[in-house]
Amino acid sequence: MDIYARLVDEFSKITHLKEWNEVQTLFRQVALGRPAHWLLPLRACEAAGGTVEQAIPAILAVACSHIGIVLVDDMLDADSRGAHLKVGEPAAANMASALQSAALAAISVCNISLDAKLRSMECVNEIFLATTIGQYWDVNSIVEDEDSYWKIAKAKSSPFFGASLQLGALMGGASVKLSEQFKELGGLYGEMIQLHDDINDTLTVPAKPDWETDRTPLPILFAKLVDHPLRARFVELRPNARSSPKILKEAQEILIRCGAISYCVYQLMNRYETVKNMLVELEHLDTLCKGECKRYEILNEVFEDVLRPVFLIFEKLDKVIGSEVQTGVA
Amino acid sequence: MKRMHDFYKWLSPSDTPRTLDRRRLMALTHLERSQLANMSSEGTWFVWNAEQSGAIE
Repeated sequence: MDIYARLVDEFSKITHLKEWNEVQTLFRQVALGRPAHWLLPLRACEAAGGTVEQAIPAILAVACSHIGIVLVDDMLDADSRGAHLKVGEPAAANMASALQSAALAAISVCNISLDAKLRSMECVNEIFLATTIGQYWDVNSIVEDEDSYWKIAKAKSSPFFGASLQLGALMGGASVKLSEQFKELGGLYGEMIQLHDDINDTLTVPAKPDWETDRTPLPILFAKLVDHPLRARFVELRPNARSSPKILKEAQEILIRCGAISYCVYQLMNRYETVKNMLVELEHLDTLCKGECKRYEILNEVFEDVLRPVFLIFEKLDKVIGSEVQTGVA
Repeated sequence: MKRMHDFYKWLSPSDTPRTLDRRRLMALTHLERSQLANMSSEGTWFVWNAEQSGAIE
C-alpha cells in the first residue's frame, strides 16, 4: 500500500473539504513530495504494537496539521515559496483554518475507544494551540539570550512532533502513560528538527530570511553572544549578509570557525543520548506488544535518521582525526 | 549539557584530554561551508518540498 496515495484518498472523503478543489489540489501536491515527517505516527503506532491501518487517522491528522502550519508560517516569514503567493493571503488563511479542523475530523471519525479518541483530539488541539504561540513569539520577539531561544524553539517545533508520536501510540493501543512518554520523545525530536532547520537556514545559499536582524537562529545567536575572536567582524557583516554573496560567505565561514555550527551538532548529539536512555527505559515497561514488536529498534531508527547526516560527516572526520593521532598532530 | 559560553571554552584548545566527540566537534570548525551545507537539508519541516511548495494552479 502506498501510504501517501491512501492519505490523498482519505483526505478526499473529509466532509466539506471533498467539495473544495483548491484544498484537494494542495494536499495532493504536498503528498507528492512524500514528507517524511508524516510517517512518524506510523512508526509510533508500530512501536506500540499497532498496524498501518490503525495508524492512518493519525497520519492524516498530522498531514493536515503540517500543511496548515506551513501555510501560516510561510505568510509570517514572507517566504517566497509560500502558497499564499499563488492563492493570496486571505485564501491561504482560510485553507489553514480548514486544515486544522480537518485534522480533528480525521480523528473524530476513526474507530478507537472513546477515551483514546478524546485524548487524541486533545493531542491534535495541542498542536495548534502550542505551535501558534511559538510562531507568534518567533515573529514578534527579538531573541537576545539563549534561554529565550530555547523557549521559542521548544514552543514552535516540539508540540507538532510530540503529538505526532503520541497520536500514533494512542492509535496503536498504548496506555496513557506510554503515550505520554512517546510525546516526550517527540518533543525532543522536534528540538532536533529545529536545530537542523537553524543549521540549514544559516548555511544555505542564497541567504535565507533568517539573516535579517530581527531573526536569531541558534548559530547566529552563538556567533553574536560568545566571546570569540571574530565576533566583532560577524556583528559588522551580519546586516549585509542578504545583500552580498561575498559577505554571506564570510559570515557563514565565521559561523563554522567560531564553533556555532559545532554547538548545534553538540546539542543534537546530546538529545540523541537522552533519547537512547529513554528508549532503554521504555523497554522495561510492561509492553502492549507481547514481545511481537521491536519498540526500541523502531524508535531508535526514527532518531538515527535525524542524526545520520552528522554521523556521515563524523565518519569522514574520523579518518582525518585518526591520521592526526598517528602522525602526532593534536 | 553545556550552554554556549561553556561549550566555547570546552571546545577551545587546552591541555585537558580531548574526547573523541570533542575532537570531532573541533574538526567541524575546519570544514568548508560546502561540506556542511547538505548536513541539515533533509531534516527541515517548515517547508514541504521546495519544488512542490505553493504549486497550486
